[in-house]
Amino acid sequence: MAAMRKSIFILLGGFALFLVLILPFYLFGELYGASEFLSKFSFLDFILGREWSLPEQRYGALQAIYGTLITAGLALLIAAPISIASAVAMSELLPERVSDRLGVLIDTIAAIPSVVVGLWGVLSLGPFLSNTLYRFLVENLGFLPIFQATMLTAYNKLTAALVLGYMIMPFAVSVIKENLRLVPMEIKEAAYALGFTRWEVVRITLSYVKPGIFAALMLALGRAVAEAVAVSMVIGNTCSFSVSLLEPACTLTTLIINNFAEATGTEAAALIGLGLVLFAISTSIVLVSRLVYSKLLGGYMR
Amino acid sequence: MSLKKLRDALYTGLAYLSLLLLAVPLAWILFECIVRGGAYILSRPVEFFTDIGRPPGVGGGGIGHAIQGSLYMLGLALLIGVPVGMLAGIYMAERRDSPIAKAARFVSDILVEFPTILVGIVTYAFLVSKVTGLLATGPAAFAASFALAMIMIPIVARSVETAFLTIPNEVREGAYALGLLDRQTVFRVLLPAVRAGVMTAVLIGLAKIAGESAPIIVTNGISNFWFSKWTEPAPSIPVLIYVYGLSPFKEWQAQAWAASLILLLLIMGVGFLARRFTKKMWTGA
Repeated sequence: MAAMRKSIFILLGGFALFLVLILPFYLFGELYGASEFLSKFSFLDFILGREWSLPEQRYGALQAIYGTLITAGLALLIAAPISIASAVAMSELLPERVSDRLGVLIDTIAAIPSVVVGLWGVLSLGPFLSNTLYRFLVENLGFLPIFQATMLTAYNKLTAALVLGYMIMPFAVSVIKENLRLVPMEIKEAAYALGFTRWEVVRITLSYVKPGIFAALMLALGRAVAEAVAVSMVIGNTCSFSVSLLEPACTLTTLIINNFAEATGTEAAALIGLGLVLFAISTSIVLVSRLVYSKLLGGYMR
Repeated sequence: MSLKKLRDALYTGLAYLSLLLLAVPLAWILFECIVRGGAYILSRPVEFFTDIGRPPGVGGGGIGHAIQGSLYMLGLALLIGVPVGMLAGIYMAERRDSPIAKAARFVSDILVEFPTILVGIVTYAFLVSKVTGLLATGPAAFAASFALAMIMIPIVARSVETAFLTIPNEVREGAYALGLLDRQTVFRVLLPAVRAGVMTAVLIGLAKIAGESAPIIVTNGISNFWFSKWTEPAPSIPVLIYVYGLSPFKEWQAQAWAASLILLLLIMGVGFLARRFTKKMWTGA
């Protein structure tokens, strides 16, 4: 009888255990897929290799890592102020009824598939910007290295960062909003009672949830690093170390998505090696964010 | 007006401006989908849903094959992902303090943020790669379904867990007091009690994978023909948008917008249903 009672939970536990094993399975799968490559080349040479060139059989990940970090970082720079300000507007400035409506707007943005955002970047945003903002930047601020371009193009790091930034915003907004909700009313009331203006109260509220905002933005950065399709559609897909934001680039995910289908042998294994780098970057970002969150669980998030 | 008040007004204005910055691209995307995509659909209202893609220059054609392919892929993904995610989620809620449940919760939170393209790569390397894969079929539709299922499992598990945690302990105590076995308690008492919550979990998982394209491109490759075999590449709506959108052909681009409109309606419809079920869960109807 006792054995029967337990049996169903043994089965269910098996499924939960399966879920736990998915993550090590992914890591193992990456290593397994890249093994052919790792046996021929040293991983350190791979990461520090400056060139990715198929004809010459050179597989260096550094340009892709550079592209990933610069586009994702720039996306975060764009998304962070707008997300924080929007979250503040929704949770601190607007009446709840309006803010709830806007919540639907945020959810709708979050629901747009990445390929549709990419389509908009390719056919609408990119061409529009290259005729307006990019032309202006090149003509007037072209003396700055970051705005230099040998040829005006719609698809470059800045377009990629803008598309990525837009994709991570709804997520950042909703998490920051949740954090702001947790600030005790007493703190705001006390601040108002001391004669602070509305903005000063907002600043006090924000400083109270600083770690939560940090964690939210880290997760948003992780999403920008992980995104593949939308970036590959608008980044121009030419690997380089150029500092100019108006020059094309490649990232870890775009090299994979553009070449994986036709790749064989060493190239396929090298692409999986890029996946391994992505795995490391993305998982460490998520872990740092989780770590901050679990610290918060002992603090104001109770 | 004092300087302080002026600064207050300025910052408030900036906060509202940022909301506007969020709304404009959404409006722009919806506008393009509805106007450019809608125009194409209206010009071929039947053909668009039933016909296969035509080569550029021929003119016409539809996304019937991609709709069919997506239904097959998502169907198989649900068949694998829902039971696995649900059963794991039930364990995470019902044995919430056990080490496995704790580990599962931790891993799920990481997996939810895991790059989906990597799920595709691992699936490819293990299952279908001609060199390293167990089945060595080459790019195939079933591999895409498997990758999508793996992506939805942690999402479904976490949502089912949340749903089960809303059940008051008295219900479990009552069930056991009646002498019911664990199996009966879980499947006859608890599961029916959170039907709406489980439906929400399934729909959230579906909404997440319905728009995925990267794992499909990696595991299944690109196809513009009707679904033929599980072991062959199949078309799907997201991948069609990707290919048509990057093409230089105007009629393909118009179809990419039209397909985006359909995909958006599908995902928003699923999201709407999920919200309905969530409401149902909380009102107990």
